Amino acid sequence: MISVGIDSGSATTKAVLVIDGQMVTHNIRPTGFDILSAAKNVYEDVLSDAEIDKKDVTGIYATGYGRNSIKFADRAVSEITAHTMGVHHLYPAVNGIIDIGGQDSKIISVNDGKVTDFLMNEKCAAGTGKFLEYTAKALEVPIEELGRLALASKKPASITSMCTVFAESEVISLRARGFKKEDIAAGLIESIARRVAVMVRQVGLKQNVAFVGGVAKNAGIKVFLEKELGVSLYVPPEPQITGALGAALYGISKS
Amino acid sequence: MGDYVPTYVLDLPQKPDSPAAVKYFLDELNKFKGVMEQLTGNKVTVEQLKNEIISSNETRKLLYRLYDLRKKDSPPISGVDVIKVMQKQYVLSAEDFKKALRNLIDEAEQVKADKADYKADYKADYKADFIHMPRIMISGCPMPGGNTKVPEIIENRGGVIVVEESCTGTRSFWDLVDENKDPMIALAERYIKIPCSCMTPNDRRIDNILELAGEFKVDGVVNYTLQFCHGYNIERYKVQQALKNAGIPVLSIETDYSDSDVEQIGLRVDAFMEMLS
Ligand SMILES: Nc1ncnc2c1ncn2[C@@H]1O[C@H](COP(=O)(O)OP(=O)(O)O)[C@@H](O)[C@H]1O
Ligand SMILES: [Mg+2]
Repeated sequence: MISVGIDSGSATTKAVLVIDGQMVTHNIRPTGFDILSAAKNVYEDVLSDAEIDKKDVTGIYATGYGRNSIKFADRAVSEITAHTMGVHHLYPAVNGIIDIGGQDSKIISVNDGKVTDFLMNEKCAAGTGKFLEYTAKALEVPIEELGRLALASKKPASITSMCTVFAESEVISLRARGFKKEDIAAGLIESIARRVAVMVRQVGLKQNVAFVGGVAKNAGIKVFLEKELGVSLYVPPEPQITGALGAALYGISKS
Repeated sequence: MGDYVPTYVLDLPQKPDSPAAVKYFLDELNKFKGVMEQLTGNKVTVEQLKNEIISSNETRKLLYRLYDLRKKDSPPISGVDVIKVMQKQYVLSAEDFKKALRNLIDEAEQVKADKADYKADYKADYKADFIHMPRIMISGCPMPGGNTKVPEIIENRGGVIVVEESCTGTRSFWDLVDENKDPMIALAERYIKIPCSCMTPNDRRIDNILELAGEFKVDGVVNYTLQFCHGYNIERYKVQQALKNAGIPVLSIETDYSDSDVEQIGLRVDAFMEMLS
């Protein structure tokens, strides 16, 4: 049985190809303006990567913010369910999930692979990947380097603005006051970690917590979040694709 | 506001259980009666008041019957429709509203369980996956005329709203006014018991939510608050805790009257429905 999960996110579109319950390959691309062609592209990429013909695919399952725009998918499922199934597959003991993506963050409480509660921040960019992208730009470092830079700091600057727009101007004023780059980066990351930690506490996640989404690739966020929460977080080898993986698995469970 | 329309501010004692509260509230109602008499030139008589109380109680009893039908495994009327009916009670005369309500109840009683037609309305076909359509209670802020945003999102995404715990829902009819007492005292006693979040302590509301959840066999509660309605926003925590302890899942939604967040709310409602089904 060959199943493809597509996660159409606000920042990136992800596809995962699953054969007989095992993940075979994946692909990630920027979503851009044209949601549908990004989805088609990642879909075709995973097929050619695994050398599989379209007609042999059992089902295509969509999730993510653009899931209902992916007309060639057989079914759609919410990201909450998809991430839960994906993470549970990789880490069966999971009791909680933190997903931070391009423009939202989600906290999910899990019991035995089932969602029991969740919380989402989707109203503003604060505490999301977009916030990090803006601030990386203001600091003139590539987003991939932001985390490492922050970890070099011995004395994080204190950032008071949660708002993405104001944080950017705060970065400029901190720079003008002579703060080091790494201290500003650490301050920004610490402010996100704090914000996410508040949500995690609200849902009551305590142990066996996984951290996924593109922002989980940011080593700085992981470290600061662990410090803030006092638990170590499980981050899968490729944390950005758990939604797509879960969608593929969801499809299998329904057919 | 007084510049535009005659205005009288009715002072509500916010600790309804303190012994002096009913007395104070009765005093306020009597003052208000005087203001109304002056404004309209009509005298409020005991007999007229009694007649109005009897008439309003009839409306309440009809609403009880309507809500009773929603306790069925397959409710014959959608939540959105009931909410629209409730909103009409503030614009129709009591007699017109009762007449329409009687017709509606007659019709709803005829609907056969398997024919509940709201099921045909589902737009997203993947909802066919749901073995059981989650039964939802909406709890929180009132939904005045024209405001059906959140209920529509819920019912378009696979849920069935079976009861609304709010001042435009059950709280408007749940208790009758005593017809045998002095009418002013009876009114004061009935209205001061309304468990609005502006009252303290407000355990009455929590008890009522749990009671309704059982009576209407609710699978999940959508805690609905309007931005800047601080009472309900603060009480949300208590409601969530009480429901969690009772093993009933809750989704909290804070919104306003605009449509800008329909998709974002939809995202969470989808996930909530999947979680419940
Ligand atoms: N290599 C990386 N290092 C650090 N951060 C990254 C990296 N790749 C992606 N990100 C972060 O992940 C975010 C996108 O996450 P993703 O889960 O794909 O979002 P969505 O699901 O909303 O599309 C970006 O905004 C960026 O902050
Ligand atoms: Mg995502």
